[in-house]
Amino acid sequence: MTCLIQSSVVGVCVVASLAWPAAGAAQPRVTQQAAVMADFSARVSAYVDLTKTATQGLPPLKRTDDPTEIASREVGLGDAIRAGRAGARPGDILTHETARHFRRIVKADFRSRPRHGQKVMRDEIPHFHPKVNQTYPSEWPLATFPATLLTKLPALPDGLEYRLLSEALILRDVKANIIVDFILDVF
Amino acid sequence: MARSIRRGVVACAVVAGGWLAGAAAQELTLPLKPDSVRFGVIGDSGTGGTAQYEVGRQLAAYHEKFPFAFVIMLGDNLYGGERPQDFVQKFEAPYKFLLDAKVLFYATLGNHDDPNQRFYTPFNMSGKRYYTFKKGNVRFFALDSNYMDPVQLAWLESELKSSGSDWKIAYFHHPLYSSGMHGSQTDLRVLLEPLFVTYSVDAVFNGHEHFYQRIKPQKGIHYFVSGGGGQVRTGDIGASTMTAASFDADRSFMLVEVADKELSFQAISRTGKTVDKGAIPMREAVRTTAGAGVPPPR
Repeated sequence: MTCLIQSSVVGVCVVASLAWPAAGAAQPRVTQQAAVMADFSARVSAYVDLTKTATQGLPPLKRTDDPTEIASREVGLGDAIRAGRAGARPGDILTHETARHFRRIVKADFRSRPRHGQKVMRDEIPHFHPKVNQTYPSEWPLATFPATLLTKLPALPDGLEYRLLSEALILRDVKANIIVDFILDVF
Repeated sequence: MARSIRRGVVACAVVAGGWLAGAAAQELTLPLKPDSVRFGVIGDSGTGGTAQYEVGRQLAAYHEKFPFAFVIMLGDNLYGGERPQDFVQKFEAPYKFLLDAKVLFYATLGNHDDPNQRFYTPFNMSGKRYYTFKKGNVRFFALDSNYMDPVQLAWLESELKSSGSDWKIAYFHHPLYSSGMHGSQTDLRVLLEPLFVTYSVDAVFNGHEHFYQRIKPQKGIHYFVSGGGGQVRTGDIGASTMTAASFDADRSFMLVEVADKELSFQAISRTGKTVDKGAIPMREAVRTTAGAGVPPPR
């Protein structure tokens, strides 16, 4: 099944928000962060629900020795999801408030890395401007997501992932290979 | 050449100059013990270029002498696209002989791979980005180092903890130790090495760097970089005290045999030259002597 979400993921998101670097700050800020993350989780859940509906009846991606089948099903899932959220805009999921929090995390993580680590990280990142609902171009690599940074961001349900572009953090639907939403200016 | 080939001092038994003379004969140094676990190792292979096909032919030639049952793939299985023809040109055709001989391939994902490759049956990933399988007395842990999230880490710890195998071998794309252009992936090392140490992983195979490098044991664990299956970064291996042996003059692959308490390895160039060879004991026997208290190199 595409993008199954469990209630525990939402819980993880809220807990993760409490564990952010600013956790030691004043209580109102913690509460505000938790609220922002709860909103983010709700929006992610809504996306997952939408994809379930949009792809209902389509053949799922399953194991096959025919790569044509993998490609056609990936395209089919992407087309269905695009049609199901044709009016989607940047910020629908990664809202202004979420983006502000995420930028802070990514920038702090990046700046904490040694110069060589920063260079390696930037060298591997694709340079293209993302669009919502865009198919992730297969000629670009999927830049490795820094493992320690991943531990600082809220968990995502199976089927969704974070990825980095030259100046953006994107939310990517793995099976459909589409860019669901993005945040610019993250470095 | 001095920069391209360096010999180790412990496990590597290559006699200076000797490997050059014997290369054309496709020397096999592995013991070929009965009932051993035998496998090939290729990394960063999926270019679809001439060199990849030549490595494939060399693998096939060695399969005649050393009938290995499977090959582990260290990621970057398909460069530049995921079209159906890419699967043919960059995997099925170069390794046709092995596929016809029923040799199994167990892939991991590199940064150039679409995670949907996990649904491609010949990659034997069971639809998963990370997975484990057992051959004889060896448990393999195939990881997705592109996206090492807490869920995968928890899974790995659980699998390592419950593994009753004698040998534990992990493989994934990004090297925790390397002297190449990308360098050691310290971000990953922080998360993975403690698990490898705690649960006595014996050996780790990685790609990403387009060359061969054997790292001196780090905290008792043997690390191999074998990312020259399709392309090479000539002269990319920088000077480092952590290097036991290396080769960055041409494409390469590895053959490995595990028998009882010993793992034997042979690294071979595209032209059939043996560029490194040796054997390592099971980690339990060396953990008290290797790398203890030594800070990891960068």
